[in-house]
Amino acid sequence: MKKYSLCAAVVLISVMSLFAQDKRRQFDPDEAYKNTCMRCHTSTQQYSPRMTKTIVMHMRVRANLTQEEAQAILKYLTDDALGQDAQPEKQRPMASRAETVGNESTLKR
Amino acid sequence: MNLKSVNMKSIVKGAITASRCLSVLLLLLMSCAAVQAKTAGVVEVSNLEVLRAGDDTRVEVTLTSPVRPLIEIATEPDRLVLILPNTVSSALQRRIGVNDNGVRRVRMGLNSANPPVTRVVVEMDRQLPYAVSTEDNKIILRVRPGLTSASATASQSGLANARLTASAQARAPVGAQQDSSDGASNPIASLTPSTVSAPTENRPGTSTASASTQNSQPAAVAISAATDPESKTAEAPIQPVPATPSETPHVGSPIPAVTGFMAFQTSFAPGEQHINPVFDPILLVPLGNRLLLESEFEMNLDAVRGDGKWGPAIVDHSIEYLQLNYIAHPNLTITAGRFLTPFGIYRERVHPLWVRNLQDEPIIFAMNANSSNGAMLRGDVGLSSGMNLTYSTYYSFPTSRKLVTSERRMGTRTSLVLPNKRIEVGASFSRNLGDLRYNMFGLDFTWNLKMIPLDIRAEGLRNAMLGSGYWVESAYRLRKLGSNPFLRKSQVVLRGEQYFAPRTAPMSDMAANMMSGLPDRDTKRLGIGWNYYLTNGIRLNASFGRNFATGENRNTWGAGITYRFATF
Repeated sequence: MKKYSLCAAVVLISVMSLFAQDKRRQFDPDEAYKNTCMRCHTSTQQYSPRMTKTIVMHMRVRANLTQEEAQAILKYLTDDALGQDAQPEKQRPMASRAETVGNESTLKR
Repeated sequence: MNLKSVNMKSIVKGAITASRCLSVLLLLLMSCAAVQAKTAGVVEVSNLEVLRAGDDTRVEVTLTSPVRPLIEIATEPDRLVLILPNTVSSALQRRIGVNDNGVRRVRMGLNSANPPVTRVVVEMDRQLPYAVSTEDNKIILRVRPGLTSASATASQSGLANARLTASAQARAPVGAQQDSSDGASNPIASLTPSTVSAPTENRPGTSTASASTQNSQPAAVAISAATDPESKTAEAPIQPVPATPSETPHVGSPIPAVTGFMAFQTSFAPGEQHINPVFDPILLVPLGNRLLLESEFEMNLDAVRGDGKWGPAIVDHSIEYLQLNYIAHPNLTITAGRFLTPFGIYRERVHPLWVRNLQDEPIIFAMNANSSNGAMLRGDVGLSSGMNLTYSTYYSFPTSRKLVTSERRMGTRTSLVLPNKRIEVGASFSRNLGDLRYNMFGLDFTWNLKMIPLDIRAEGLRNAMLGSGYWVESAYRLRKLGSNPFLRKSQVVLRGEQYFAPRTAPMSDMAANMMSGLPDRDTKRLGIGWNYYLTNGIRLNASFGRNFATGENRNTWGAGITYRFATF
């Protein structure tokens, strides 16, 4: 009986999630980054946009991020890279990201 | 006669109809006039331009009519927010990347549609002096990094920010002189807005001051303390940077990545010393935008020195996870393979050495430091604009192969997340269905305070067979204590924990084996640590712990270095 109850609870939670009303919310990229990533990470490195997309996919699953949060974070992490130059797949200098530890904005939230 | 009366009737009717039409027309005209009168007062942003003039970054907002702006200093991250009341602006939030002179970028958007309020946000690497001035329909915000130390020191708190702004207002004449001394300036980028943007909310840690300008007169106000009016230098050319709207970035397809960390940790306790080199690579292989294959392999060496000589060095290695994730729905990800058992927060979130705050794991982590082989459903549902529900539920098959051992178990973790408050409260349950059957319940809590850089994490669990316990940890980043680089890169950590051993001895060898990582008696432990971020990917750590248990009171010292890497 307990087993069935557990299974039912598991299925219920899963089904609820599918039919839940997920309002399309807009996130400020900065806020999304700080409200989610920095709950565990003190700082992040900056990588190429496509590699960053992979890492955001990984974190979306690991940290149970919403689609909108993941997109906003991707936006935050790739924004400067997309606007600056063309080093598509090469790791970018750490100092170019304000959240890095090596510059004045160290340990910033 | 009849004809006359009919004509009169029709004339009267016509007159009534005409008067009605006239009334409606008048009403319409009045409404239009009212609307016209109302919209006539609304100002539009016709241009936003970012220029470099010497060491200054000038943000110039051109309006259709003069507006009295407000300036707001915001922290975490450091920003200057130029608030333009009764002003409409662009569609999507617009951004101009700068990355120079301490200014990261400038963005503009309509913060409120009714009443219309437009905000221009200057994102900075650190607190910088600034000046606001108006020239007819143009508002000029000048950011000057030349004298950072005074302003940075003064802006360590919201109160200090307020003082900074107050003192700035008192020095308006200086700003007027400065503004008149503009040299040639190089445009970084400009944009002409047109529609609506995502609103952004005011956050704590901000202070606002009104730039009390005379709209019709060129005037400068709000010069921050200790600016240098003579700081004009030759300007290096800057290439124009295109402004980008804030929709989802098009970065192309994700590519495989190898990330992970290497660490060298050492610990000292009375009578023994441990040296632990650790290598922990993570492989991420995306297969399109919905499928991700990921794996983490952990290898560590535990070399022990006891009784004056080095004992055997034990190499421990295992596959932490090897899983395939399929993002089936915005709210559902299906995972198959070997995955970290989602119980509490420590295993899934903070157990990697480069993420955890203290070198030592909590005592109770030994009860759920495992991986599962099977399938998992997980995801996140937005319940409201400020609340998410997360869930992870799984079933695991038993496996006895050394690298991928697992038990038959099932369980779930669900949590309520308040992203804006940075609070998460979670509850976990797992049922072991192997030879030993038992339930485990857990609660966890995380809170990242916004006002001060303090992170609080706590977790507790109850296991009828293995015991129960809890830990509470706080980590404080010292950046608020001063602008000294040492402080800015440092973090202190405090953790208290308690473990309650089961009242009865293990009933079987299997149970005894499962308890091998746990103390055999009630234990309290207090730990304090310090982390120093040498660079973005290298962290030094040191810790001290005191164990309180009957016959087991002892101190433990630890130190180490962790290097995080990522490549492809």
